[in-house]
Amino acid sequence: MEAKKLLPRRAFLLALTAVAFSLGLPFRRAAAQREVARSVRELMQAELPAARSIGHFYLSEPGHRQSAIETLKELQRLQLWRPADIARHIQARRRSDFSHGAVFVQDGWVFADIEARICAIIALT
Amino acid sequence: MIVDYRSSEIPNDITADLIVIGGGAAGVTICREFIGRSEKVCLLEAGGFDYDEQSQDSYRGKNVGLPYFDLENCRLRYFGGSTNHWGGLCLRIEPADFKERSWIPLSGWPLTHEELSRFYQLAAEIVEIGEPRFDESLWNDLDTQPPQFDPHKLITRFGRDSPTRFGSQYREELKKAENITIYLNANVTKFATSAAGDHLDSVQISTYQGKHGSAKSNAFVLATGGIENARLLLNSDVTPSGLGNSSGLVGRCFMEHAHVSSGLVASGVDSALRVAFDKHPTNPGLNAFYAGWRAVHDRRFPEHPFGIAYNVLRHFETVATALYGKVAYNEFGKFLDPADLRSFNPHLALAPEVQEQEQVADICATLWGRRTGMMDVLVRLEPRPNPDSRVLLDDERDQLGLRRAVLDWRLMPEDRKTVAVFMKTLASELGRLEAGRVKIEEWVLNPASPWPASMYAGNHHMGTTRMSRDQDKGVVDPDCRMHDVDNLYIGGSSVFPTVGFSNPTFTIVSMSLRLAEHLKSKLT
Repeated sequence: MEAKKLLPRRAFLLALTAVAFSLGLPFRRAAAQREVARSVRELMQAELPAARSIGHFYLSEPGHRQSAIETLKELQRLQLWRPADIARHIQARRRSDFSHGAVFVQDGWVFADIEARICAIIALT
Repeated sequence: MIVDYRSSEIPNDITADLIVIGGGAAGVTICREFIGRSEKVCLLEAGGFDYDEQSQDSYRGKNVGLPYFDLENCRLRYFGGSTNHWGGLCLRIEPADFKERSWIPLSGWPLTHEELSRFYQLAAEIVEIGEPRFDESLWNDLDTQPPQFDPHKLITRFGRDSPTRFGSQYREELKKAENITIYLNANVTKFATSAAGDHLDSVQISTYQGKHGSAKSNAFVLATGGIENARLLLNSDVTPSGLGNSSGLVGRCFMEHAHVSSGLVASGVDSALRVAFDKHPTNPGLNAFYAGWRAVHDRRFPEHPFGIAYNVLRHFETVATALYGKVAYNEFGKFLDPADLRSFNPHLALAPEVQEQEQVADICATLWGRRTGMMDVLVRLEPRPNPDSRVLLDDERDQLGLRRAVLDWRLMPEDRKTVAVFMKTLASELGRLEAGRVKIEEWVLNPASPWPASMYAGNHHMGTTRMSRDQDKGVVDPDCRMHDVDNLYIGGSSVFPTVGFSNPTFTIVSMSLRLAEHLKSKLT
């Protein structure tokens, strides 16, 4: 297997944490961005690259770039600026995605589709 | 009465109303049903009361298919049969397993679960598991909150632990029975049929010491296990293809429960998932350690080309360890007293991977504010009936002159889909419930990958004399009578047309009770 395809367990778990705590980071209001970014950096330290890595995997498949952009637009349309709001939205979507089998599998790890899209957004920004 | 056929005081030739060949779970169960009745019943047991190298050697054979245990180690050839080393786990075949599934060739039992359910009830006493309950209601007995899976996707079933060694448990009872005679060291080596080959007149009995005789009856039951039933029938020279083999299916459709590591679950140590599947030492009769889930086979869900998968989650235990443990269990199981086997743990030791899992757990504890552990998902796979998976005969012969068994165990590409669909279903359900996250093994997702080397089996030998109403699709009819031979019945899991995920012994005993009832009605 190519080295770039390997997704260690540690990276996966850290990326999930990144998704849980910092999703939507690039498109929040600037003040909120700084505040959340600081919190996330303290929490995650250097683990955002793991989320970006997953995002790149997701984007490498046809049609996924458009999906990620649509998700970004949806978050903006819903005016989900605060991390807690985004987290709630993601949680609901995650449950829905898993319920309907909308999953993205990378190196065996099974993501909800929304999680993969958020990672893709992080990768895009 | 129990006698040693080798003794010069025992006549060479035997006559009985019913002759049962094989003293394992099926044979013992059938004989017990005739205790106190007017019919004279003889049980021909190839071995004695204990393990014996000479007798066991007749089980030696070759494996030419998927890696499998040595054939002389995965079953036992003495009174009590393989119940002398069985793990004791009892599960019922699910009602849905009896139904024909149009997307699975050769699926469907020619009887319903309802027809068998009352025998399951009776069998529970014989295997000493108490109430034959295996479903979600048992969570209450464990005082544990289970994961709230969507019942249309995953169901939970519990294995119940049986302590029963049939050979020792029921020996005295059979010994005292006036109408039952058990002949030890009586090897069946030949079938003597009518000229047309459709009626069995007698079987030839031989000892390693050179004594020969015959056992004559109007009704026979062959119950020597899923490999040996096929071997004995194929060895018969009544026709070139063996006895009762007009369908060509004797020996075919051999099925085993492949046990294979299929992924990992990352889950909080304090989660319901972990608690639910932890050991419950206060409930030893409930083997929650082996509780597992089955993907519901419902065609409403996409990608369901499959039977069923069953999984077991273990704490910090690798499948490789389990494999080595199983091999060791089979090896030692021949020599240990059956009673001592209860304390023998086939899952012996921790492997180096445990350390890595612990490290991951530490990372998660930091990030999630709670400890997380990795659990191995060990899938117990229900295979599709596959005619190419089979018991054949070798050119080499055993000491009795019978050709040895060759096992060509195979799985189908669709069986891998079963695992993949199950793992994705499990991942989605655990993700939805936020109960854990799943990593699926690479081999599951890549059809080009071979089955993993760590895959092992359950010592469950099934399907080689399959049951069907249709003579072209089965060896025995719904009464377990051979389509081709009007007075020869088959007992044991070789008649199972499909096998579900359940350990077979509980169903073997239930089916034997059913067969005994049928025989009683025929013999009176």
